[in-house]
Amino acid sequence: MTQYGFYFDQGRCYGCKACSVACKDWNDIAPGAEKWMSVYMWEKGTFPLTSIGILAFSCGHCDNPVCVEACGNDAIIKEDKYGAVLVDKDKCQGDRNCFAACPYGAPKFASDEPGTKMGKCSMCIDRLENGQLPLCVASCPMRALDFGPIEELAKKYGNTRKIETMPDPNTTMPNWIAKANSPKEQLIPYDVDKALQLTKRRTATDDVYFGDINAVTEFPLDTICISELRMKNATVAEVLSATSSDQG
Amino acid sequence: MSRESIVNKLSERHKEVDYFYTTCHNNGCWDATCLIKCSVKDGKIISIEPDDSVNPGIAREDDDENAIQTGMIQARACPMGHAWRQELYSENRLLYPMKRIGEKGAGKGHFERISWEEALDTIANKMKQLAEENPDTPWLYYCYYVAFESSDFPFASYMPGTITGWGDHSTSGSAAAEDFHLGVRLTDCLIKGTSDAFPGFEAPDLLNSKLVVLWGFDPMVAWFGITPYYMKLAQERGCKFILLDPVYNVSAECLGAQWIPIRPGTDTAFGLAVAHVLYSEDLYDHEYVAQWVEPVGFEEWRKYIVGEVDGVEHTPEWAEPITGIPAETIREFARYYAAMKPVHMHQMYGVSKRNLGDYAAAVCILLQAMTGNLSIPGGCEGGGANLVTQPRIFPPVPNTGQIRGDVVNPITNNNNKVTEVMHCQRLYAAGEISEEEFRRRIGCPEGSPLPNLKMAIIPNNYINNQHHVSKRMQGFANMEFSWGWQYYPDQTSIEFLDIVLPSPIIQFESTDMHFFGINRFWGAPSGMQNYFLFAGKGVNPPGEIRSKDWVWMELARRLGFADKYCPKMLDVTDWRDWDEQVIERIYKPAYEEWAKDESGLLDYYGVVARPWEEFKKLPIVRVPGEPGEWFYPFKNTVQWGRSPFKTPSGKIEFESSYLNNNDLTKTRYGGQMDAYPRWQPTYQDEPANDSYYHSWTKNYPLSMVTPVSTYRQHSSNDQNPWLKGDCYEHMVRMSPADAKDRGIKTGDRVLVYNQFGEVEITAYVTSKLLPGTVSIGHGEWSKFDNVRKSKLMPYGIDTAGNCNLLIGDTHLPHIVGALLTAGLVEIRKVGE
Repeated sequence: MTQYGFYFDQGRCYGCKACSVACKDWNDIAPGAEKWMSVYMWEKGTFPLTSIGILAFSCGHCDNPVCVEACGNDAIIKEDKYGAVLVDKDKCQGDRNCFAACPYGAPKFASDEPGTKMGKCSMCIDRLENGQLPLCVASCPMRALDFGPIEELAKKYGNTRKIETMPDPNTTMPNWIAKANSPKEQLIPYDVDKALQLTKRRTATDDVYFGDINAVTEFPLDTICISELRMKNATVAEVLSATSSDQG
Repeated sequence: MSRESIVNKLSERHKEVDYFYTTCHNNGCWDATCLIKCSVKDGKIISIEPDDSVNPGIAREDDDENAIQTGMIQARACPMGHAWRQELYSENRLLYPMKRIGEKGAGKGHFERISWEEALDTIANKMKQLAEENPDTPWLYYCYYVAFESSDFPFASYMPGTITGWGDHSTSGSAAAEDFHLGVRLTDCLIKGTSDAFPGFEAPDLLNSKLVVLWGFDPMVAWFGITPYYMKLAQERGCKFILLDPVYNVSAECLGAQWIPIRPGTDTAFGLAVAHVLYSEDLYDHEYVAQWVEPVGFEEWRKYIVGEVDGVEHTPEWAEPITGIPAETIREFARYYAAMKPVHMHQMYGVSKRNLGDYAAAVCILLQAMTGNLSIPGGCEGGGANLVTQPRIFPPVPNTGQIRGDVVNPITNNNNKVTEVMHCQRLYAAGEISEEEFRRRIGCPEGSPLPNLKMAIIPNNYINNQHHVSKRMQGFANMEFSWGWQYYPDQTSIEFLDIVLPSPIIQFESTDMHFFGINRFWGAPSGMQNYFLFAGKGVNPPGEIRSKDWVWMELARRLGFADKYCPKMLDVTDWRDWDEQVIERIYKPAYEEWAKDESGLLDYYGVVARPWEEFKKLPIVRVPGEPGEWFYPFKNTVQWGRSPFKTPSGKIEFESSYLNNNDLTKTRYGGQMDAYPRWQPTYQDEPANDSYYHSWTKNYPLSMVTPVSTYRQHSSNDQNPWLKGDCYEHMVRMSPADAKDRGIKTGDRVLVYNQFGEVEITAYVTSKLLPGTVSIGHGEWSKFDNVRKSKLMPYGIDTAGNCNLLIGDTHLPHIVGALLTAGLVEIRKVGE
């Protein structure tokens, strides 16, 4: 077996979700939470030092696929040609033991109804068998994704298996390599405190901004949009919230 | 056993399919002509794959430097390109012609199914009647679309009566600045072909830039597909990026840009302060200015900037409280900008699509000239026409055999003032405004007939999609008879039609022309015009949907000029034969003519034209560019030693001599504009509607901007469930400080309101924008509740969140022209 895997170049991704939609289209998955390829987006920092966290992740097709062991119905296998972790929907009973086991939230469910069968990234094994790339990889407008034998990817891109607040890779040994977005460079001086004060001032008209300047940077976390990477989402609502873009 | 059965199950859908290529190109996705490969089974599209016409099986095309340098790369689609099956096979598709029973307007009447015969006869009779009744007055508005000094109405040369618009929607805020300071007109270089001065750039030229300034610009979302990829490559190779915008966007994240938040509508003040540093510290490019800039105006603007005209020194300290940017940052920006040549400073349309926005556009252009970045490799023209370059390959030219009629339709109005036309024609008829006032308010040139619209033809969702929707709805409700094509029953525009025809989704289901002469030989987008596509018809549309060009031909028959309109299709009356015959009679001969290569261009590129039947299987022709020789702004004329600037002086005029020597109120611009860009929060005692300096801020203190979305092409795809819900929720973005003041948190339903409209929407609280600013994405379909009705909202409050309900359309006393995209609003939690 040659183990295949994915590469994700975080700095190239703007969270458009072409990969995720293309995956749904290819696999004919209904609108909703069953996103085999998920693009997580969250917000970091406060004004004006805000940044956007972005992570596109489908499945690690792990060396230690804990989902396989967790399934009492032998519905999940790690196949022996590409090392893809696959689910047999005929055998799946929807008990979600796989979801409980996987730290990445890779098993996906279309509904919160008990017994809903699990769906997950198939590595586009049907396409691999025809010599084609997984569709998410071929679709990326920014060419942020790559795919191939994991050893070759590691040689080409390094061996980072975790970025941001992702789970510790040593548990399941995912065949997933990433390059984290480079830290931002400050090109010209910018006095943050002064900028904050300036959000309040007006000239030539009355000051209509009547709020407390501290409220720009200090607020309860539940008042703002999603502010952390959350890969493991138990319900449809949680999945949709963690993978939603603000670009609508 | 298990593996095999799983793989078999996954493969089953994709076995025994046919393929066709098309583009998801829809105006509003910046006409990007991304290429998609559709697989078809049993007459239906079952999946859509990205472009594989070059580099098949390659994930990261930049692994091959030659592919990048020659532009031989795929045109991969954004998420919208992959979501089309939810549009095509929506249970909500309109399938039959229908007529309206009862009044026009949301919730006022209803539709009944009718036959095609009845629909076509009714439309043709009504057109005949109105043409006879109104021999001297333009009575018809074809809204796809009246721009570029044209009406785009297919029958314009056969029947009088259509209005004809100057200007356009996209670059409308910057067009005047480009015209008066550079002598560059988008209509001339893009549409009419009367100018060879192309202000655009090709994407690989970005690899020459040292600094890119994204001025109100979110290129990943809002610019032609391939260009953002090259921007990213430029950044990886050392180019720096700065974002100047009230909102932090995904492009800034992806491109590692330093964000400098700026208060909406104060871009002119920022630019003046930058110019102050360039003048006072002598940081401008003397050589470039000596060669290309008219010296008197350059000196006059300097005098204004340094305070010799009005006593106000436009320093960074002066601009600090206006823009909200610390003075030190403005000063250091100016120094950095001056030192980083070549700089691609690119101001996006929205910055100038507001009251007095022409000055913001002018400032960007003039700064690019001052620093010598306007027409060099790695530079940028800075204005709105910078999408225009010359295509590298010219597609075949289909010939329908058309014999043009002799009707000439004079220019009647600015294309962003159609609502004002409808509004003013009533006031004018009632004697409430003078002819002169009517002309000024709609941009109608002297000597042209004043319109009195009776019919609109709406093939899109126009009524929903531009400033001042309530006013427009009133205008359309008063039309005598309107008809058009629609896709779904819940499009806002459908409520104002008397007859609705079910529209094919033409990229997949017909051989129809797109618009403005874009036909089935689809040229490539700005930034990489090195390929073209032939898009045949992939699948049959559902129900009774018929090709739009067949409809036009049927109407031409009924109106008596079919023999001139499309002679080649005269004997094809059966709609079932239409598309096949269009390809056979029009597109195939055009291709075969092209394949003869009489110009020798194909030979030059080493392209071997394939026989038609073979070409149709992979109907894309792409040619390589020369590494390092990509187009930069005005490259051709600069290299010929000829000035591209068609100003009276032939140079870049910091002070426009045209504006100095002409009274614009006597021209189609209707209002006035100063000869160089100044900071004027009010213009001739009229405060700008969308300005922080308007007294309206007492009631509506939040400044609203309305950027485009990743998930809508204008309003197309708005109801697509693979996008809305799956990828995003439509929400109003606001700062935690503004939210706290109003007791709002993410997920709350809120009312956004002002004197133009009321919109209910979900709140999204984020640190990605400047406090005091709110942002609502453009293109949401209004959904009026028909309950909370008022004079302002006669159909009830919009519960979908259409930002265009909140934007006024007043231009004068400043010039007419810009499509306005900003406003002042207040927000409160629903139920409080």
